Amino acid sequence: MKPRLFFWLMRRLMPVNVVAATLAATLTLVVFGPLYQWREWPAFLILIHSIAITYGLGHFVGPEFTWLHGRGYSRDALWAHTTAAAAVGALVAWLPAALIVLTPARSLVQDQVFRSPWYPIMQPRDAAEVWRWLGMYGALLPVLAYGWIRRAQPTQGGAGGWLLTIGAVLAGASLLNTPIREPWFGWIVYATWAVVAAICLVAGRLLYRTLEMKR
Amino acid sequence: MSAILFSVFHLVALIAIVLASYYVIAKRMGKLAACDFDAGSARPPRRAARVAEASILLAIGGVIWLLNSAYGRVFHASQINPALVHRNAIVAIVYGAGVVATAAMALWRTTPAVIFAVCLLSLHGFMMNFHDRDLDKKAAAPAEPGTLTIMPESSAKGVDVWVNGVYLGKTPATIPFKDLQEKLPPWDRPEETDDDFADVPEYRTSSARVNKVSRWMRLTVSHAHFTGDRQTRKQTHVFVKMRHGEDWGYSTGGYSGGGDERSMVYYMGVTFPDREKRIEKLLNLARLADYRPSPEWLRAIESYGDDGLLALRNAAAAEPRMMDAIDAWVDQRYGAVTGSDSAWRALEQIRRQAESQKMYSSAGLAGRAVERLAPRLDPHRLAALCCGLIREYGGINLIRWNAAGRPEFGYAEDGLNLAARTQTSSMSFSSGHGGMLPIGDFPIVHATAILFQQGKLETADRDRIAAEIVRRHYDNLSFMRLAVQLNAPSVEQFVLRQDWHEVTPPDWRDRILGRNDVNRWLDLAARLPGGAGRGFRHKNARLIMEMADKIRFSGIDFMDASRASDLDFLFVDDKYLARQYWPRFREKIAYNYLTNAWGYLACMDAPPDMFVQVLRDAKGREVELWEGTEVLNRYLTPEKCQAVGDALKEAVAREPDLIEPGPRDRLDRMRQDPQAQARELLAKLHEPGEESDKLHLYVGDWLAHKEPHHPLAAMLARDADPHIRLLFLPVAEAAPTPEHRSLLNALVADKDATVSAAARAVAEKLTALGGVKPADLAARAAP
Repeated sequence: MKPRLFFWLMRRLMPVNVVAATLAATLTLVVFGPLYQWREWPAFLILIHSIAITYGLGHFVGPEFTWLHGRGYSRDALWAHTTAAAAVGALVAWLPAALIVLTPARSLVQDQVFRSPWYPIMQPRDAAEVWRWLGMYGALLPVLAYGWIRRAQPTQGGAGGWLLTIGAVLAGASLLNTPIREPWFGWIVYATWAVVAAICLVAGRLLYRTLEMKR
Repeated sequence: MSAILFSVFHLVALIAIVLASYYVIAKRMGKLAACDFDAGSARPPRRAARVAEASILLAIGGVIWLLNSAYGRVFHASQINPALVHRNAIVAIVYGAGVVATAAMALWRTTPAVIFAVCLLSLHGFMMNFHDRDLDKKAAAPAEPGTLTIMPESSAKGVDVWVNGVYLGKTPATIPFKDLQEKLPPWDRPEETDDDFADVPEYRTSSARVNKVSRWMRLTVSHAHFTGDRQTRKQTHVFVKMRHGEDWGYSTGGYSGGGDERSMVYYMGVTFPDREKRIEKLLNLARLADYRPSPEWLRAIESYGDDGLLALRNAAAAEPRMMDAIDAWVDQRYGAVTGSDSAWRALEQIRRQAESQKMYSSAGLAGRAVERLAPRLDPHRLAALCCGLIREYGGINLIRWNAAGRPEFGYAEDGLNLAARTQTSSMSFSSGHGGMLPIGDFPIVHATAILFQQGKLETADRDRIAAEIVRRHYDNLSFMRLAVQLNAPSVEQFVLRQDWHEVTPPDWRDRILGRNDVNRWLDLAARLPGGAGRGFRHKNARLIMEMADKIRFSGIDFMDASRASDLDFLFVDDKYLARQYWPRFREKIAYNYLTNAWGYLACMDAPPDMFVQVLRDAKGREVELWEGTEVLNRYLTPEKCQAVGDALKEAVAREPDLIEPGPRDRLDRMRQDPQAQARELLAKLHEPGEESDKLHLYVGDWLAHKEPHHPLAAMLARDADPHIRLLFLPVAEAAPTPEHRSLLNALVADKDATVSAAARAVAEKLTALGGVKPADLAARAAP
């Protein structure tokens, strides 16, 4: 672990993470009705946040990155710290929202302040949504990161890798929203996405060793 | 299904458009060339990238293949027309090969592989949604010729079946629909000889007769009929005769069943008299053994299966100690339950059995076992199990019916009509979506329901279960009504905080509403039990009655217990709303005025004069009197029924033109308070005259065959008149309960020689019956 590298990367993400965390916490606290009924907006915000994180950490063009890659860190160390910074960035936005739901501050505020009929009865169901959000980050970040790393390869087919990333994200979003309630199919989709994310992580690490900086 | 495929098709189209646009625009703008390494001079992608991208394409293509194929298009081949199965199978195979080819292509170059994958997905979605008119026509036809299966409403096995004089074989007797017309002779009515009639005695207090009942039972089957590509529905009338061994059956009236174009199963209401007599003798052996039957007896009754259990249950309705015999049977099957541990073990055994037999019925032996063991189960653990099931499964399929005066439920995965086996009508209930509750878990739900009915579920447990139902099913009215019934504080708050303030909110299409386009929250709030619910109903009576005005209902019997009435909320708790709404309800009845109005009043527990007023209002509708009095007999207590009957008869005596003389005797057949009826009959027996003579002739047989547990029996045995004491003897012989045997013993020592001799003769018959081996009365296997 190289704290200076990690904090340098985190500093780059700070504006994005502060906005994301504030937005997530506020919305989680005040949105009316069970979170289950409100799935599209969190998914959209998580997508935007993930893209912002990936862009912030993986934009391999410009003097800052050239400077970073000339500091003597190994490519594996850079990849590991970039990945850790992305994960922590996701947690920074997710954790306050998760705590608000799980503590259960949201349920109390909804019940006592807003007199919502849905609380406290829906609190356990909200808790399930929180883990779903984390799963979305877990699925999106490796795939998006792979897209950026693939584009920065000094090889053919970078556009294809990027196209594949876009297609994979769209396919995943659509499959998760397919109106099938059979639990087994849901588990197959989750398992497939875990495999895809794992492939992207492993391949991303290998390809990071050969990515090329541009001034 | 089409929605699923539609969404996948759109997904593919969307991906195609986005990617193609991106690629074309980026290429045009020179972006791809400027920032990429796609130039021919660049090195090909690294192996890790190629393998990763091929794997991603394979995984996503595979899961979409599974989505399209697994959901009914290929794997559910048995339910689909072969023409479509073949086409879908070919599409699925080609698509699968295409996915593999895409992955292989990605090992070479990614961009063309992605474009190929998009084209493939588009084509796949299009093919799976493409409607070929010829294929669709063929798909409308069943994959195989439909068949009709005929069964008895009995557990008798190997029953011979004849249809229109043609022997079909032993049950389950099956015939293809097309053979109904082509191979069976058309019968308008059977050509009956004397042998085709069974003599069925009918006993009344002052008369008796023998009815000739035809052994040919009429069955009307409504099934699909195909002429070329044209499909119509056709009704075919046939006549069915059944024999079990040498025991010819006769109709007990009606049949039940149904199915789809591929398979229909009908259960004929049939009685096999010899089989019935043997079961009755077994019941008498149990009575002689003071309801503590031997293991041999248990084996014998078990040989009759559901018929044996049904006979015991029917007997227990009037003779509660017969439940001891059922419980002995339960103990033999599942082991005696002595504590919590043995109760949980027995419950597990019942669950496994239900799972393996794919069937569970609260009216069955397993259902009785659950009834007995439920109070020994830890309610908290049971509630936790129940909550887990609600979380895990999205819905439930079951049928409900009433048997021996009790509401029952159950389900059989093989389509077996459980209610038909109890010779009663039933109602299918299916609600929810997603995974349906497995039959093996029905006993847990049953045990929980029993504890709730017995008031043994604490508020916290009821709250947990109800809250879990709300979490999972807040958009399902049937489940929400169930949650409300559980009387849980959290659900009370949940419902009362909702927007129930209008019957039909202006933006009702955007809301989750109940049936009849009324506000679901108002419907639920009106049903809340307890103080809060009562307060709500009193305070918002006007609004709730406006909602009731919008609710349509139909049918003969307003309060048929097997149907969940949308107007139930009127009768919750103190019935305040029912009384308020009565004038509006009278105006609302469109059909079957008498039955619906009397049904409503019976639910309301109205005073007798209100029933009389309905009869006045229904003048000229005497034809409804038959069903109307049946409703009263079914739903009023004997005491209340007697009071209402007396008031009706009194009114008719006062106003003779209230109803025509013909239907008037229906009032005499209304249920009476047994004690009052016994006193009345005994008084008549003592009065000289023609009526008394008739009673002397018939009342003994009436008691013996129809009402052996009527209080009149004991009154007869203890009467001072020896002629009247003699009337008791057929009852003792027909139903030798411990009480009847005790009375019989007293008559053996009677001071009147005739009574004593006749009693001794009956006692000797009972002694002889006691010597019969139960094995000799076991069900006979059909040859």
